[in-house]
Amino acid sequence: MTEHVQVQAQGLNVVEAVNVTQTQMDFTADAVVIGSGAGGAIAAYELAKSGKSVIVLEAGRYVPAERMTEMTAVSLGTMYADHGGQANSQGDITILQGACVGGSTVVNAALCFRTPDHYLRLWAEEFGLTNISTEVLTPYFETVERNIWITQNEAWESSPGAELIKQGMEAAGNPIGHAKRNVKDCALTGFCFAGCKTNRKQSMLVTYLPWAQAYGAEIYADTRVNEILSENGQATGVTAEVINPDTGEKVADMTVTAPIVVLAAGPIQSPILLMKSGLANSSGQVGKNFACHPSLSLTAEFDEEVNDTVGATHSVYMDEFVLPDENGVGGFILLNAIEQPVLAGASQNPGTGRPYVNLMERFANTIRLITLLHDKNSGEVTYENGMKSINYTVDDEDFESMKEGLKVNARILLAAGASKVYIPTTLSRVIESEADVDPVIDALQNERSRYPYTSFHPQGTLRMGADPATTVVNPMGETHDVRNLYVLDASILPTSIGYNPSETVYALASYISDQINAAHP
Amino acid sequence: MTPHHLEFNPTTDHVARLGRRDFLRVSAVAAGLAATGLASLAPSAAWAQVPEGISHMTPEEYAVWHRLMRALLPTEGSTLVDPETLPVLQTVDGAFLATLPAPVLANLKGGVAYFNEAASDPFGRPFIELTNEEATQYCDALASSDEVPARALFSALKFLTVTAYWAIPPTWEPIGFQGPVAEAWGLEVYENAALPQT
Ligand SMILES: Cc1cc2nc3c(=O)[nH]c(=O)nc-3n(C[C@H](O)[C@H](O)[C@H](O)COP(=O)(O)OP(=O)(O)OC[C@H]3O[C@@H](n4cnc5c(N)ncnc54)[C@H](O)[C@@H]3O)c2cc1C
Repeated sequence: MTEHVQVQAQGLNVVEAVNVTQTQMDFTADAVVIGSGAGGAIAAYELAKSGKSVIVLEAGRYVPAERMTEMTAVSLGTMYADHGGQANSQGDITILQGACVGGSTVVNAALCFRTPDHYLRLWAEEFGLTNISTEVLTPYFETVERNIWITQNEAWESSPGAELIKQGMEAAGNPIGHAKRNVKDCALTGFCFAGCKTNRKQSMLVTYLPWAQAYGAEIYADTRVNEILSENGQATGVTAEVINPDTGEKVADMTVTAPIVVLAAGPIQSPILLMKSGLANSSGQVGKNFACHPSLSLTAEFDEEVNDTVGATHSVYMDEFVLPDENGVGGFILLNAIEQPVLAGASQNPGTGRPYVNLMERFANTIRLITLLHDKNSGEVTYENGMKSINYTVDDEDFESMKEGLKVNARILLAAGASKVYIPTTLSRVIESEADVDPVIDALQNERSRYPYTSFHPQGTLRMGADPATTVVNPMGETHDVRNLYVLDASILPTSIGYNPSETVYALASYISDQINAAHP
Repeated sequence: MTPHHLEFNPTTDHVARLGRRDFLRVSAVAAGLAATGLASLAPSAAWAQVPEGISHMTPEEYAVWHRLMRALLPTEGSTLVDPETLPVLQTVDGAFLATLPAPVLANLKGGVAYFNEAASDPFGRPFIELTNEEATQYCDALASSDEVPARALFSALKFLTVTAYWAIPPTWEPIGFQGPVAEAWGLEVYENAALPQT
């Protein structure tokens, strides 16, 4: 069949708000996919390839390579949820998500890990997910790895900061993990977070979405689904609105009637859609069990210039302590990341005024190493009076893990030759020698609005499992309550996994797509 | 070759392209402050006129933001670009304040008023009348306060101001950041990936 199918060379055929002339659009299809990120794009391709007519509705804009700016501030405004300002209700954890055709995969840093066996075993034991064993998922990992070019960084795919961090890990006696990323011939621009202007990042924008289109899938951007429709416990379609993102004005209403509904709007919007629709919540778990891997970045200052702004966004990691302890608490991973001033400049606090100016003057001498926490699933997404809230604060036990992570992090940076390590807190906290590490970090307390956390990995709000009383989605990816309503995004992860989750989402989405195709031949 | 960012007009393009931002962190902070019942800033003839490009700050609020910008970014004698020469507050106004939902904007304005007036407690004068040294002390005191709303408010105001500063391309050169590279480096744009064969 493939010989008749042509993938368009560049870009996608996307209907955007500016192309819409009607005020009401009504469609029918075999399947409607809500969201075009990691989960939605894979579902669109796999379902379309099996011969189904597929319509993909994406709330965000269509930003092809030629419209990308390589300016982080501009990209935050155009390609991220809430224009980069999405946060927990306390306001101290920025929760970043992509909101554009291709979803977070367009703006992510492309670092990929298979789901660790530890979690697959845990999910089987605690959630009855014996069907997604390592044996079952391995071929799915292999397929997505092949499809989106997930390969280990070549030696040259590094950055000046990563090279220092490698030395630090070696000197501190920590194992060095070499990044695997879905980037083909990385040009080392360092602009992953602003979208890859040369299409080398093999995001959904240049892989699964054009492939889905080659099999006939239609994609609507600027189109927000407002309700999932059902009759007699069976999904029947969705209603949506097309909104012009530049004016905020509604251009059209849309209905899509389809016997298969695939929900892949991400772990904040997917539960909200179920709440708005009044569906699939007999367990009372919709929106609960939110985790997000909050991260803090330590900034290290060196005597010499390092110029860590171009290179692979991620090159090295350290996962020696990633698994939770015997009580199921904590775990962390360290990741190098190059960052540009608009992101890096906002999280530094060496003190007001001169100390800040002095530090930023020496920006070229600084590098950053992230501590990413494997947190508990203790938060909740709610939707009341038209407003969403992400009710989540870092748990006290998790904070102790974060402190352990910061200590290992600081020691690596000092071993790499840093003269100062800045702790990101509203109070100025600087480490200048090994002797400072324990006293300075032990003194940190788990206080609200004290630390500028960033989260890149929301998860868990529609967890998957065998028991309809405690989970929302069954082991095949279908909601327990509504037949033919499938969830294929990071919402379904039963626990947070401590590692960057995109490959887990890719593999689970591929697996669930197979289940959908088997149930709807 | 001219680097791409030098062809970019920060005053017009940047503000326009940033578009709407819904800074929930501001909303959360300001919501906390609103609960404490904040007054708005009283008009005063002594306050500076707002420059062109500011449409969501009153002259009084502009004066507070301006004083804060000077306290956060005292660039004299440094290699950094003087924020007075850049549309920093126009960016705060156009990119952040412009399309905040009305209640959130109102709360933020309450926060700005609170920030100004609360300085009278320790210093006997509002923030806009503090000396440089006092303004720095005041900001540091809020940042290290034991009160969650105080440090949350300061973090939010600082975040908006410094983010606006670093979002403006001319700030990059002195710190060695080159800005956009794909065009400057003449990089080839890749095609869509080929269809998987299996
Ligand atoms: C800046 C950043 C860096 C990251 N770096 C990494 C990394 O290096 N490695 C890694 O493994 N992971 C990384 N991630 C996370 C990873 O990209 C996500 O875990 C993954 O993409 C989640 O897939 P998803 O399908 O759940 O959601 P997404 O990919 O976020 O897609 C959801 C889509 O649904 C759309 N949508 C939402 N609501 C609606 C609605 N009502 N109607 C229609 N459409 C809707 C959204 O606009 C969005 O496009 C990063 C994420 C970010 C934001």
